[in-house]
Amino acid sequence: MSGDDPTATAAPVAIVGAGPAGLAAAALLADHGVRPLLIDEAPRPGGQILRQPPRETTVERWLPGPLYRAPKAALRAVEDRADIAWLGGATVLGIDPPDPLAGRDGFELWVDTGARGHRLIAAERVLLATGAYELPVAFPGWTLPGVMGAGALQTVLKSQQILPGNRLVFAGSHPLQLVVADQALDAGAEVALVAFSQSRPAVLAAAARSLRHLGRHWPKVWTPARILARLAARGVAVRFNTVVAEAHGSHSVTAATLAGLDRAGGRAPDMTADRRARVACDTLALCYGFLAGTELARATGAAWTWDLDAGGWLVAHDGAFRSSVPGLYAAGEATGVDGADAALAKGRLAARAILADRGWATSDSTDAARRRDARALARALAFARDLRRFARPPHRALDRITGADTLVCRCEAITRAGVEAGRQPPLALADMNAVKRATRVGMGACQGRLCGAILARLARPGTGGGQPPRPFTARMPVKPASIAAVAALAEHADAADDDRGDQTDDG
Amino acid sequence: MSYDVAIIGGGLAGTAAAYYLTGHGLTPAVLEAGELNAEASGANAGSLHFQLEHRLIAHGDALAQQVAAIIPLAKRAMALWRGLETELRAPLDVVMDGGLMLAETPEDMARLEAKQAVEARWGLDTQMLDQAQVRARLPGVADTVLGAAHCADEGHANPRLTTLAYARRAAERGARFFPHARVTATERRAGAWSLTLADGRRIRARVLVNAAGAWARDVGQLANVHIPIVPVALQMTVTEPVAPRLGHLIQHAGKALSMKQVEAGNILVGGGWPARLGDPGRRPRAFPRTIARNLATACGVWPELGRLALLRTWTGTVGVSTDQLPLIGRLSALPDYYVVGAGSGFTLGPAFAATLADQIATGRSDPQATVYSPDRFAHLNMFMGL
Ligand SMILES: Cc1cc2nc3c(=O)[nH]c(=O)nc-3n(C[C@H](O)[C@H](O)[C@H](O)COP(=O)(O)OP(=O)(O)OC[C@H]3O[C@@H](n4cnc5c(N)ncnc54)[C@H](O)[C@@H]3O)c2cc1C
Ligand SMILES: Cc1cc2nc3c(=O)[nH]c(=O)nc-3n(C[C@H](O)[C@H](O)[C@H](O)COP(=O)(O)OP(=O)(O)OC[C@H]3O[C@@H](n4cnc5c(N)ncnc54)[C@H](O)[C@@H]3O)c2cc1C
Repeated sequence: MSGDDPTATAAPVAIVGAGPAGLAAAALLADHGVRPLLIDEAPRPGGQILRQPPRETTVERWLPGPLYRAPKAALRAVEDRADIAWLGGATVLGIDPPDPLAGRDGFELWVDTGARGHRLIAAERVLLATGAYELPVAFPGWTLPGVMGAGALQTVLKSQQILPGNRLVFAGSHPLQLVVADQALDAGAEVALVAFSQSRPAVLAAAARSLRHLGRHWPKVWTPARILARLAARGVAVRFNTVVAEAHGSHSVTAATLAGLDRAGGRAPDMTADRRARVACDTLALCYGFLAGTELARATGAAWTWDLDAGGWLVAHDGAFRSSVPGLYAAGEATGVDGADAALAKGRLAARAILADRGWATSDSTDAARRRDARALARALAFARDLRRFARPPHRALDRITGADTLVCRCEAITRAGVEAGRQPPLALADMNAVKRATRVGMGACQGRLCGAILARLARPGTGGGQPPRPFTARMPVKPASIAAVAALAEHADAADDDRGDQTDDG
Repeated sequence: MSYDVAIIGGGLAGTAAAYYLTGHGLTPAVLEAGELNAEASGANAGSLHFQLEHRLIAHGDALAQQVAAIIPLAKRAMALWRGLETELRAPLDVVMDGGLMLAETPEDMARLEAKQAVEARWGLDTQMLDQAQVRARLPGVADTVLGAAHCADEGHANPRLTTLAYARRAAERGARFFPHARVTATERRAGAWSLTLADGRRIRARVLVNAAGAWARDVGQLANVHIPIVPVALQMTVTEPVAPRLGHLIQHAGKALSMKQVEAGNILVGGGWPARLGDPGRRPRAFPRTIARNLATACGVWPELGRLALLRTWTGTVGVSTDQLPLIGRLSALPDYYVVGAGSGFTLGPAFAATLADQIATGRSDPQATVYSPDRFAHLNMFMGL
């Protein structure tokens, strides 16, 4: 990729997110002679699954194993290309859709490039491949230092080869925690316990079912089984039917309480009072699934759909990854948490939609090529569906571990009871945004990225019917930004407006 | 169901009106299309500003004279705000520690002096400060600031809390609240108003109050009358919370700017910067250029702001009347049809509502209130009505 271009102010296609989806789309666009601008807030491309170490560190055996083969290939396919523009360490704070009244036919991206300031980048079309983040769960002690997502732990491990603690407890419902536990063991950590909310028979049944994917998805089928065997060999306790209940400690986590799940009568798993166990640890890693990162899409006006187990609020699309905003596309986990293989296929399909809409399609972008990508996506989704069914978090138990005085919003220190106060008549606030206004929940630094999903889950019993919860209204800037840098953008904007004025005068 | 008064709109105007009506022994019902306090009343900047605003004084002396008629309402609002936390038995984060309207050019200063003369004539107490006096009150103020007008009663309160506190107390005194109740028809039947809700429910009331904010015009059309209130989309920005450092409400004599530090420590920056009106049912959209210009304006007079982080922005839709003055009172084209809205409806909202409730309960309005009477637009409704 061509290096950071500090003067880049326009691109035919801007791609936000350089994970598997963004990388695949960039390569396909460049193959067809369109030079996309790939933007990511990480300094190097790769997305969550690869999280490349910084250039100056060399990591021996960086992400070995078959799991990472396809995304690494996607990365290699773009890294050395000059016909893809790259803007790393740059956060897209907002996107202004085309505004013909103001004389602007394309999108305008508001980009924070850190020390290099803010800038506005014009793009005819925009692909959002903003990925996902981890599903937060609220229970007593969850805000203590040392309590983190398994993915966050893995990110530090992958990019810096640093272990955040020495004695780790994992709790979750997603098999990714096996991968992370295994990587942590390799890095020298002690893993005290890996707790799954699923029952042992459910795990065995899923394992048996997954065998039908063995042909196409062997690494993802084989890896968990191999890791379970390795954990057993190393004497790591793996417990089933168990959910996290509490984190203990005064300054940071020193122990975790895990609780048994009761699934009597085939009901949804619920917590039981018995079978509670306290385990000493300095890191508690949670892995109950993922949430699609759709703030940027929603702030740009894109319609959404709701599916809690597929990532919560997802960008709605027409099947070819066109969002409801003309010219705005979405791919990867932002359209459903389906894994890296699906993200690669979605990225290619989105790029094909862009080429078709723009009339850029060439001979290679024939129906046959499109069908090939669609088949790859279908295969990936078949696996993802089974995985999703297996990894479904124990919602009822997760609701139960959120006590009345458990913090729901850590930024603003609002408890569950505080959130629920406004729900009674005469106010009878049902909508999340009304609750936000009444309580400040979601008004802190994370802008509701964490508590939004917690609130949606808590609100579900009360919202009546199957109505999807309306998310906190997303707005630019989607991340906090330096005011001095934003204010400096005013001059940039004035200059740009002057330019446009001159052009109109001339024409 | 039958009530004395049916109020359309669960913003500050409608909710506070319900509260004051219960004080007169009447039973109102508030019909709100969405959630209470979800529109302008819950999304505004919370400024309690009593000086004549930049946008009002910018267009010359004649208009300034006209809008000065607002001052008696402002003085009633001032008194109500001072006692409101006690009256509603709720914290509303009311702070009235003074406001500064800054001047950066000799023209700004001249405008402030003219403004002060008008205000003095109407009995609003404001003082001119020189550069040194401004510096003493606002550490870190830019050198470009030459002086300011100071009003000791200005400040801010919390819009997230105020309307909801009115609603709780009004409900205790017998008012009924219907959230998620969009009014789709208003008709006269058998000597009373009959309102139809989107879900088919019917409400009867002797008196109807149109308190639908930026949508007052649409609600008026349900009864075939024109109410000249237009929707305007505004944008706000807010910083991360910081230790107290801004003790005044800050405004500007020549630029759109308002700035204050709220109870939670965040600094709110706004002052009438536009957003784009969205599709019906959608929030207006903010845009990067305006966000940048709003913050550049604020940094221009108080550079310290630049060291903070911008946390978020939001937008809201406010109803503005064609002559910038509020509409409060009875519309003579229709029987028992009242309007309340437009204008700086947070600052003045309690006074709007109390004034309206007095009129409904007594059937009389005090002579000064004719300036706000919706009948100043009676010509629009000569061919309208039922
Ligand atoms: C923490 C974490 C760890 C994971 N580890 C694994 C793993 O080990 N194995 C596995 O199979 N799957 C893993 N996954 C799942 C995996 O990430 C996905 O299956 C796949 O990578 C999704 O690809 P994507 O292209 O949709 O998004 P991602 O790979 O998530 O890429 C999205 C990119 O967008 C960028 N971005 C987002 N918003 C902005 C913005 N506003 N401005 C600029 N850039 C932005 C992000 O920095 C990110 O690089 C992990 C997920 C997470 C969240
Ligand atoms: C960003 C912003 C900043 C502001 N800053 C300040 C400030 O600092 N100081 C100040 O004094 N003022 C400020 N204002 C103005 C102030 O907020 C408004 O004037 C005031 O809140 C108006 O109150 P309201 O009750 O008339 O309207 P709203 O609060 O908008 O309430 C009207 C209600 O009517 C409802 N409605 C509409 N149609 C129907 C229907 N058919 N059926 C049922 N219900 C219906 C709506 O849903 C809405 O809830 C600001 C406004 C905005 C938008």
